[in-house]
Amino acid sequence: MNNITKLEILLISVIFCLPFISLVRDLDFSRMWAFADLMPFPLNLSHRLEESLYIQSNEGLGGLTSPMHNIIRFNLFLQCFLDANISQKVVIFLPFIIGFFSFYVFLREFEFSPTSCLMGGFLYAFNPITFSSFIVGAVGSLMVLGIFPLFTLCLNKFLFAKMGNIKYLSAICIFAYLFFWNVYFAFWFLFLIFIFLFLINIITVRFSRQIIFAVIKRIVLLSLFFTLIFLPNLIVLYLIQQGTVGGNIIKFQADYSYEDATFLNLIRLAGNKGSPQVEGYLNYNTFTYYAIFGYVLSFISFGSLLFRKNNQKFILVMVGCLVLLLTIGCIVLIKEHPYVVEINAFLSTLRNPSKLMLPMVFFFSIMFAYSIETVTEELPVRSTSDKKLLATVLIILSFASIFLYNLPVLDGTLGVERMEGSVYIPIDYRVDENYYNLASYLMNSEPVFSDFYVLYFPWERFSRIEISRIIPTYFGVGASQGGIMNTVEFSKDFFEVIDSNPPNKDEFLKLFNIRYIVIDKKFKGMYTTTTNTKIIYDNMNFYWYSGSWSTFYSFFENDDNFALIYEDEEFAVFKNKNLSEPHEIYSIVADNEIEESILKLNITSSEHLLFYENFDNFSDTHNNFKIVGPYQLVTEDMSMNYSMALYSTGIGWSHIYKSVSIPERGWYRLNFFIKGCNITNLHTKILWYNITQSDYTQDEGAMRVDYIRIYEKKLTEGEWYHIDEKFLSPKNATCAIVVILGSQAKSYSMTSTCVDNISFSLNKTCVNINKLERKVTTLKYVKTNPTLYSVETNATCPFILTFVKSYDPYWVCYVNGERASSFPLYGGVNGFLINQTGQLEITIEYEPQRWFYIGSAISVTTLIACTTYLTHDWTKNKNILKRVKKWLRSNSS
Amino acid sequence: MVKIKFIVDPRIKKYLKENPGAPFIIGFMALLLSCAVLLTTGHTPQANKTAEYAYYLLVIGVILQFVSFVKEGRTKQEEN
Repeated sequence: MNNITKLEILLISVIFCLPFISLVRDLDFSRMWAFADLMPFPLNLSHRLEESLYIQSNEGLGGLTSPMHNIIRFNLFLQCFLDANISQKVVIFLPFIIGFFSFYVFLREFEFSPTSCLMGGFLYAFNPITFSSFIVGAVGSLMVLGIFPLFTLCLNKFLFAKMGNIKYLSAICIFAYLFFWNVYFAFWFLFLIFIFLFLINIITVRFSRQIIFAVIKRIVLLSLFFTLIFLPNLIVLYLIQQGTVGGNIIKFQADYSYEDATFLNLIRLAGNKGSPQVEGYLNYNTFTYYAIFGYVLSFISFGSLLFRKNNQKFILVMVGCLVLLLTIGCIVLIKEHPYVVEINAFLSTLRNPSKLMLPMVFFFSIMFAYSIETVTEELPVRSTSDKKLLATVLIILSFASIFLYNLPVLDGTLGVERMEGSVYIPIDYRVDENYYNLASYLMNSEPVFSDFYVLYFPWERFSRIEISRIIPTYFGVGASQGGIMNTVEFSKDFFEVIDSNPPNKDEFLKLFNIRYIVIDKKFKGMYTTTTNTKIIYDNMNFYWYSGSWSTFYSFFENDDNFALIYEDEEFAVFKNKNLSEPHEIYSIVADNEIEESILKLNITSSEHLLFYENFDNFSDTHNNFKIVGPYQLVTEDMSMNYSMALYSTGIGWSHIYKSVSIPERGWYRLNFFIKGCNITNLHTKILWYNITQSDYTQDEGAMRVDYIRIYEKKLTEGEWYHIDEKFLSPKNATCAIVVILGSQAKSYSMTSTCVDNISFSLNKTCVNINKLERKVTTLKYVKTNPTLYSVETNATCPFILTFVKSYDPYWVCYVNGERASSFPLYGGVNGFLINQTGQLEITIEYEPQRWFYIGSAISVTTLIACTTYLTHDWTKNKNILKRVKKWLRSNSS
Repeated sequence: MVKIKFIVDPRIKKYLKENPGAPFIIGFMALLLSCAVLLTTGHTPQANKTAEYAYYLLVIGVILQFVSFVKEGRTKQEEN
């Protein structure tokens, strides 16, 4: 920044502020906003503090929080000094300001003229991608875009300068910690920027072996620091990865989001269909009046390649264009082959092209700035005054093109009032004051209201957005929850029970600690109508229950177990009379027989097998199997116990299956031992049918197929591995076929898989919530924090401890020091089977929180170390310490 | 026998020698323009197909520019 004067900074600030203010002139800054993915900020600082410190969401039924801790910590920092509303506006608009200035500085560092930097900065901050990110409330991605030019400068100086300076590494870490608000976007941006910098330096630096080693060392050091800085995020990402929803959903999302990602759209920074809110703006495959200016900008940007100069600026342009084309190629490739996103966790983040489109803005803007500079410098006009005039006209035209291209959002609200798609029903971008009034009424008249869940109707994604931070104890999945969604089926069951309007609703709701029912009479959502309709639908991996408010009102109006405690034109609030004490943790007496066995197969001979194949030429020399059965399927292992071997040949791979009838809807447990040799694609599946099915030939016709991907479980070849998985049967399923397949390998003759002790049973502790007939006892508990609860009880018999939080296998409970794991009770909340009796001290804990504490401590220590080093370096250069000492000495004398 | 002789301005010749990717980039621009025309006339699938070819031209153009730039840079370095 040495070549930028203070006057220049002042001037560009004024030039930037004028159009920016005009763009947001009609927005209402006095009220809290909530639209699309943008949540209202919690008024209560303790709510924000809990969000920052714990990885279990303190909203709704809980669940793992998102890995975007950097933005949460930044928000917490702001809210320590500013009002929640002001903090929200700072967080929303800071990325635009940082983006403009950071890109300006980036270009100036490469000796671009102030005019071209200004134009480049404008395009970088104001383009369809940034505006659409704003409309969908994706401030995290906007901030990543904003900070990356400065980050790139530091990265270049650290990695490729002759003397890699640690101060740049410190700056990189600080930027990343403070401003990488969305780690997924940051990862892909970093990936492409690294290619960009690498190519630039290949051209400009003659790489010797010494330099290559130095660069590799710096990359290793950078990776180490990044791991330390992002340790808390990595922990959450790991946990999300463990519970990520199936690939089909990811592929489905990719199919949809990439639909418009054609070259013609991408070339003008458009083509992401993944955000329905901006469909009317970005989803243009037609030639609209404002799209013309998109082509004009493309012409200007790609025209830069025609003005070759032997300087660093042209290298930037050329390499930038190359990486831009590579990015476009990748997007088009994913569009053609969307299953690419299913390959692994990293690629699954590309289910929406926006992650690759963001870096495109960076390269596009560099090319645009270069074109402006070259054209204005080399105008074929002899007179200087004419040249200046023509240059001014060109700049004005380019400036106008930038803004005219974004015409649909130039309504003074940046499009949040106007944007709508075919799916998205726009709501007011401001949070209605009445929600705050309702919350304060509940707080004042019902002081214990935050100890219970609030059931909210109509319940849609947008009603959750409105109330998420105002009434955080709503009954539903947490708004900031990451990938783990274990409540999908449970939520459907729950709403279906309510929908049937049973007479014992009070008892049913008591099981889930629901004391208050709020009916929002004015909410306008996707399915709210004036007629008496209601609908349960699946969206974003949770079921929602919507319809006209009067329908929900009628459910509770005539029920004596519910009291109407508040009603006005906006809301009606009912109270469950049957619930006086918090009921988040309680015990239910367990049945003696917890599991009902449906299929048991301990291999003693071949007679139980329904299906077998005989490969005569098989000769097994692996694992010392001894073939004893007539069909070469029942073998004897080293311990002289029988097991079943599935040998694969070039014809295909063998498999066994068994058809069983399903007595009721519930959780079924498949349990068996398996051992393989030369295994690939080894898997087992359960096919569910609503008709009796005795034969299995193919998957088609099944209601659903559940897989156990054994090949993902890292089993050691030749050693027995215990598989124990639970599956919730689909509604109305009457029959299941358990299929265990042998392995598929490149060399079939070398493949063998052994299975034994197969058991398929109905887990009675996890039965459908429709069939609750057990004795329930309320327990006194203490909530230390959202990840730690303690209970004291005196048990006379074994029981199931119920913990009404979204099921997660990482919730554990310690009973007098003995550990018990969680199982999905009612299909969605946590249950612990406790066999001990007598006086019990029980602790319920979310175990990964311990890792999170350690990760956060390491991350903060790294940040402090980087900041200290940078401060030391800065004060040393400025002789500030000497000056301070001198001043102190003069004052003391 | 009739011979057709194209007289190319030496400046253009020099420019094309220095910028071997330029014809492809100009071709890309021409195709992009035609895409716009196709879009206005409602021929969206044809426009998308043309855009694909435009993309290939641009890739070739950029790679040629890149190679010639690197090549020239190396020659100059060796001369020095």
